[in-house]
Amino acid sequence: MKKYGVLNRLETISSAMFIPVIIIVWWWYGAKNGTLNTNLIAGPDELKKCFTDMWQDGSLQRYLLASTGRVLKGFAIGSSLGFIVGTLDGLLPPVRKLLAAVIGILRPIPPISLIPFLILWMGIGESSKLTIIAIGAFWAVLLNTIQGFQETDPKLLELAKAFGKSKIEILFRIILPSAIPSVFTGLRLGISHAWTAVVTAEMIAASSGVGYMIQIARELVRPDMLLLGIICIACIGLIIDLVMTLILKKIVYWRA
Amino acid sequence: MRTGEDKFRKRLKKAGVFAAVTALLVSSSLTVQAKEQDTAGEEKTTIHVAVQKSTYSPYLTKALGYFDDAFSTEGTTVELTEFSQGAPMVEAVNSGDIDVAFLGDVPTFAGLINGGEYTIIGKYSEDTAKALLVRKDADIKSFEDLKGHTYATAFGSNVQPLAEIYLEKGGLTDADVQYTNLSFGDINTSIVNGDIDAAVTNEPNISKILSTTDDVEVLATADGYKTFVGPIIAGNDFLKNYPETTSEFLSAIQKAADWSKENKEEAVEKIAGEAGLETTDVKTLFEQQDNNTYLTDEQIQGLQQGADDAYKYGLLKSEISVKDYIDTSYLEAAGITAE
Repeated sequence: MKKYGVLNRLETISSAMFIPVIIIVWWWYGAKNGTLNTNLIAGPDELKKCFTDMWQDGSLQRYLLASTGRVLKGFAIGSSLGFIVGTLDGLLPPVRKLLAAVIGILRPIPPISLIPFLILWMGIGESSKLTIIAIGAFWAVLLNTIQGFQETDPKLLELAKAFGKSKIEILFRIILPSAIPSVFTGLRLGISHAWTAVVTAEMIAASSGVGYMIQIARELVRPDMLLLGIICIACIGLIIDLVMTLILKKIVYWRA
Repeated sequence: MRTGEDKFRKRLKKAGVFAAVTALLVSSSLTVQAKEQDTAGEEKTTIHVAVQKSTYSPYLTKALGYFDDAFSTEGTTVELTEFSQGAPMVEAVNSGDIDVAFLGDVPTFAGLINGGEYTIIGKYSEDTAKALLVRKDADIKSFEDLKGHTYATAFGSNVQPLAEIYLEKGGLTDADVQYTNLSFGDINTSIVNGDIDAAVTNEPNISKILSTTDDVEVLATADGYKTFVGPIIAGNDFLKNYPETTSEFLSAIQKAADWSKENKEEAVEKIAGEAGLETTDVKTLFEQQDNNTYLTDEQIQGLQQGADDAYKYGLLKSEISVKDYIDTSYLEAAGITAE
């Protein structure tokens, strides 16, 4: 049984890696034989040199730390607000009615379009950047929290009322445990969106961060630095997602 | 023993992988093919030109109808596409979407160092219409006083070397100021609102800021510090396939420049109308610039100095010999030479 478990895992990993490996081979071969326009996408040699230079002078580590710090702060703000508003919306029908139109109107607005407005309102300091990241996290947490509360099995609620349970007991013993899986899914999506939003956030007068690195790379016509920045964002986004998935499995163990 | 369902799943998986790989290979070959078709030796129906708000020559040429005069018999049109900065223009030229671009020297050199496939075929401007603006309440009276203040410019633009020169004159480095990267548009908002204390920027933004508020003043212009030569670049494929079209294009631009010398006020109005600017914003830069298309030896030296400055201040990853990327033959074929 154990043998088949290991084989299964190997098969899963190799299936997942197949397309990325094909892409990497295509990129490497294209850069070497001139098929790929290396003015637009840096080749492996240029990428390696850029990584080595930036790692040795410490700038890559500085940028990654700066962005990670911003994402964690922005995520904490956005997810907290998303959870609070989502809980109120999920539990209280009058709040749900009040917020329905507001959510519908505000949700489609892309964070990048808010940059000029945020610069006018909040200036070019950290608050405008953290606001962009918080907005990225907020919607995912809000919507999943609302859904979590609305998915509580009505039969369980009926049963609890029939057994004379108090509202507090119903909230903490039935509604919240029922909502938690959806809330954690929202948190997982929220931190991914927050990480994606960091590139937009660092367009506001940043002097460090991976988003700043990508913007500078573009402005200085450095396709090697641009590709390195994109790869960093992708890798860290993947690590964040894996960590959140593990946490989700541990905390919401009953779903396994 | 495998069930029918297992066999089906396995076949489906294999089919999915095969389809993904095929799609990838087909799409990459299509990308190469599309570029080749664009450069087939047929008539050029549209000349794609990249411009910025501050590159007045193509706007004036279009407003005067000189592009139509030059190309109407061939059925060719000239399409102007506006960009906010030079780096995306370089990307567009490299990808073949843009044939000719009017941009600053720094992004031109940065693209060439990275193997950009284009050539400098002339210039659209020589001027010193850039300046260091400071807020009056920041009490900055000299370059030394910049220390500790927020100091913004558009990183990667042709203005950034001037920002570095000002710091050097004040005995300062990037670390001595709160060095901030802002687009020209965001510099306008931020310095007016007081979010930054000082900024190095260009026309027409200088005029816009000074006309919006009395809280900002000019500490220094570029006079005596740096001369800015604005190159016209063209993609090498475009030059190879359409040399006569290139010369006719430059000839139309020069014709507009010649007309503007005798009709300055009307030129300002036409540029403002075509570019969507206020005439007051256009006037300052227009009056200061040399908008002839030919390149003198001094101007070529000015471009080289620009490249050396950009390398010195870390904007370019290597040095570049600018004259190796200049080709004035298209100007000469159009009969355009320095007076």
